[in-house]
Amino acid sequence: MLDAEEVRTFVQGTVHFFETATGHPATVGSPYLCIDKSAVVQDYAGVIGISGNREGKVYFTAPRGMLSVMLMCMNETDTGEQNVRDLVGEVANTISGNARRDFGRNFIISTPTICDRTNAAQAAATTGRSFVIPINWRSYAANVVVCLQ
Amino acid sequence: MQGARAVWVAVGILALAFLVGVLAPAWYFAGRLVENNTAVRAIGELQQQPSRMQAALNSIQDRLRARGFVRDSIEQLKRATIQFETAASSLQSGQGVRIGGIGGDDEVQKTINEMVASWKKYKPALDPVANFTAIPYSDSERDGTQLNVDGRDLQTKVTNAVSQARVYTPGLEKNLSQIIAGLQSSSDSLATALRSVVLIGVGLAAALAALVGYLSLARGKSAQAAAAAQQQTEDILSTVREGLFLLDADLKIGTIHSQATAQLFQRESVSGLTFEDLLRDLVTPKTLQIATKFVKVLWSERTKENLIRSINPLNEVELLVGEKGSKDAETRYLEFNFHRVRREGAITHVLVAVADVTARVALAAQLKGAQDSAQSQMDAFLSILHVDPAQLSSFLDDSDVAFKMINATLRDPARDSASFRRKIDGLFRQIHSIKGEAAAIGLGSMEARAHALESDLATLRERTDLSGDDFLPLLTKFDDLVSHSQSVRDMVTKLASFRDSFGKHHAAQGAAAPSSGDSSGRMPKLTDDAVAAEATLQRSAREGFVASAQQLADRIANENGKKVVVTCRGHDLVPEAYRRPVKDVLIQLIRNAVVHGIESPAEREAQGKSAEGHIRIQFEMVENGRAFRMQCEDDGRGLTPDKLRKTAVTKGIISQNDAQALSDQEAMMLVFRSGFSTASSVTKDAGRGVGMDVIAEIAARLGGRISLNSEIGKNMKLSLSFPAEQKAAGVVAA
Repeated sequence: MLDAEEVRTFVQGTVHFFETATGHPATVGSPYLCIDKSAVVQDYAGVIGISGNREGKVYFTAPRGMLSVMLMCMNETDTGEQNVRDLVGEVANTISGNARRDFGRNFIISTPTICDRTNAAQAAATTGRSFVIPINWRSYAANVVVCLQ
Repeated sequence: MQGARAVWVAVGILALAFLVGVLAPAWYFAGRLVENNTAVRAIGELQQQPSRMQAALNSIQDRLRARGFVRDSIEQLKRATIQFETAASSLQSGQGVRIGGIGGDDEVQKTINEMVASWKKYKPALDPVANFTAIPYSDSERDGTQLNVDGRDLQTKVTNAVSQARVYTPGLEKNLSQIIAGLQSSSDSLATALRSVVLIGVGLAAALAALVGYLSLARGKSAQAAAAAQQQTEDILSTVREGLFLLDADLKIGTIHSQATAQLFQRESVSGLTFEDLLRDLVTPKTLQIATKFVKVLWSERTKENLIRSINPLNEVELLVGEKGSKDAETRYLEFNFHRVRREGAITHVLVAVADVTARVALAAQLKGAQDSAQSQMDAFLSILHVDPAQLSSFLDDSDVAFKMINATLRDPARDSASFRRKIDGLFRQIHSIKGEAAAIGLGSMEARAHALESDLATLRERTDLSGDDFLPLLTKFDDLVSHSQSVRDMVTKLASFRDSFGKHHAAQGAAAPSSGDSSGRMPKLTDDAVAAEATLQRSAREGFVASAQQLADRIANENGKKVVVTCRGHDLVPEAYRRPVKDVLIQLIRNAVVHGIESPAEREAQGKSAEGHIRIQFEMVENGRAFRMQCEDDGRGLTPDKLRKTAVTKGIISQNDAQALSDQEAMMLVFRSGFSTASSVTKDAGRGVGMDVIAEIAARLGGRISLNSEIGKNMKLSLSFPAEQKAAGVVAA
C-alpha cells in the first residue's frame, strides 16, 4: 500500500516550486484515484520513472495556458514551445529532487521525459491505479500523478 | 619464544666467559709480558755495568801509574756503581722494574738475590774509589808529579777493587745473563699462554658469533613471521565487513579496529572513544544506559556470556547514513555482538563485532509484509467461502459502483475548505453503506478497511481548515479498499473456476468409480473440503436475504452481549429496483436496533421481557399498489426524546433553545441528522452518526417518506414508504 507521506513528497515539491518560482501560492486540490488505468494527461507532461523499492511513474501534467502564465510570472516574455517544455522539465526535476532527498538510495529515479499531447499518453501510461493530485494555481489546475507499485 | 630466551642467556654466559676467561688473562699476560720486556731492557743496560766498572777501575789504576787525570774515570765508576745499585735494589724489591712470568720466576728471583748478595760484597770495594774526591797527586819541581798520600791510598783501594772486580764481575755478568734468560723464558711462557688464551678467545668469539648469527637469523625469521602476521591482521581488518574493536575495562575503544568500523559509524576513527560516546547519537538515552550496563556485566566473571546474550539491547540499532535530507541519506541497521577476550584465564577486553544487517531487516520486513498479505488473503478467502456467491457477487458489483461514486465525489474540484467539507458527509454515507453490506455478508476484511476509512473521515470532520493535502491519507486507504475488493473478486473468480472444474471432475469420477472417492491421499481431502464449501454456498443461497439479516444481527448482538431474533415477512414483494437501497436501509436499521434499541438479556428480564430481543421486518404494497412500504420494529428500549435533545446539543447539532422548542416527535427525527449518535464510543457498528443519515439520504433520493414511532421502554418502529414504480428507474440509473 502506498504511504500518504510518499505521495506527499511529490506533491509538496511541486507546490513549493509554484510558490517560489511564480510568487503566487498554489494549493493541493481534491485528490482522487485514476481507477481505469487511463493516463490523466493535459497539454504537457514531465514523466519520471522510478525503480528500486517501488516501481512505477510519477508525472506532472499541466495545460499550456497555465504554463504560459507561469512563465510570464517568472518574467519570461518568451512563452514559446521550448520555454514551456523547459518549465515542465524544471517542475519534474524539482519533484525528482525532492524524491531523491526524501527516499534516498532506496529509490532509483530517472531523469524526466518531457512530452506533449502527441506522445504524453504513451509516456504516462501506467500499469495500475494511480493517485491524481490536482495542484490549483490561480484559476488553473495542473496534476501530479503518482503510480507506484 | 622460550628457546630464544635460552639462546640469549647462553650468549650472555659466553660473553661473560669471554670477558673473564679470555680478556682478563690476556690483559694480565700482556701486562706481564710488557713488564718482562721492560725488565729485560733494564737488565740489558745493567749487564754492561760490571764490565764498565771494571774498565773504570783499570783505567784509574793505569792513570795512577801514569800520573794521569783520574777524575773522569772515577766519575764513570761512580755512575756505574750508582746505576747498578739502583737497578739491583729495584730488581730485588720489585719496585721500578717488575719481573713477571709463568713459572721460573722463583729461579730468576733467586738469581737476583745471588747477584745482589755478590754486589753487596763487591760494592764495598768500589765505594772508596767511587767516592774518592781528593787530589791524588802532588807536584814538585824536584820530583815532578808524584802520588800523594791520598793518591797512594787510592792506588791501594783501586788495586783491591780491581782484584775484587776480577772476582765478581764474571759472576755478576753471569747472574745478569741468567736473569735475562729467565725473563726471556718467562716471556716465552707468557707468550705461549697468551697465544692459548687468544686461541680460546677466538674459539669463544666464533661461538659467540655463531650464536649471535643464529639469533639474528632466528630473530629475522621471527620478525618476518611477525611482519607477515601483522600484514595478515591488517588485511583482515581492512577487508572484513564487520566493525571489530576491543573495549577495555573503562569501556574505551582500543587503537586497532577494522576499517569497516569507521565506515559503519561514519567517523574517521573510533580509536580512543568510549563506547558511550560511540553510541550516544545513535540510540535513545535509555537504550544507551542499558547497553552500557550490559557491557559492564560482561566483565563480571560470575555472568554467563551465553546466558546474557539474549538480553543484548543492541540487536538492531537504526542508523541514518548521510546528511538527513540529502540524496545519499539512507537508514541502516547495525547489530552489535560482544565476546569476552581472555588472557591466561582473565578477561582482558571485550571484543565488539558490529554487522550491518540492513538487508536482513529489509528482508524480514518484506517477509512479514508478504506473510501479512498472505494471511489477509487467506482470511478473506476463508470468509468468502461462507458467503452466498450471489450475494458476494452482488456486493462486489455494488461496491464497484460505490467506489466510482466515492471517486467521483473526490474528483469533484475543490479549492476551499467548505468545498472539502461538503465532500465528507457524502463520502461517509457511501463508505458506511459498503461497510454495512460487508458486515451483513460477513466479509470482515472489507468491513475493517471501510471502518478505517470512516475513522479518517471522522478525523477530517473534526478539522476546521481542510485542504487536499489532508485527503491524501484517506486516498491511500481508499486505494487499499479498492485493491482489496479486486483481490476478493479475483478469489471469487478462482473459486468459481475451481467449483466448475471440481464439478466436472466429480461428475466424471462418479461415473467411472462411484465408490472410489475416499480411497487415496490428498485429493479425497480436497474433495471433502470442496463438497463442504459447495454445501455451505448452496445453503447460503437458499437462506438468502433473511439469513443474512439474522447473521448480521447475531454478529452485532454477540459483540454487544445481546440476543436477537429477526423475523421477516414479505421480502419477495421488494421491487427489483429497490433491492439495493432496501438492503442498505435494512442493514442500518438492524445495526441501530441491536446496538441502541435491544437491551442486554439481564436488563430485559429485569423489565419482564424475554431475554431475546425481537426485530420484525415487514414489506408490503400499500395505497393500492402505488407505494411500497417497509417497516422495522424492535422491542427494545425505544427512543427517549430528552436524551436525544441533550445529545444533539452536546454535539453542537442544534442549540439549547432550539432543542427545547422541539416536540417529542421532532426530537426523535434528530436521529436522521448527519453526525448524530448517542453511542458513547466509536465501534465498527455505531458511534459515527452515519447510519440513520444514510437512511434519510436514500429516502430523499428515492422520494420516500419516513415515519418514526417509539414508546419509551417498549419499542421503536420505523416505516419507510417509496413510490412503487416512478422512482425505481432513477434508482437503477444511480
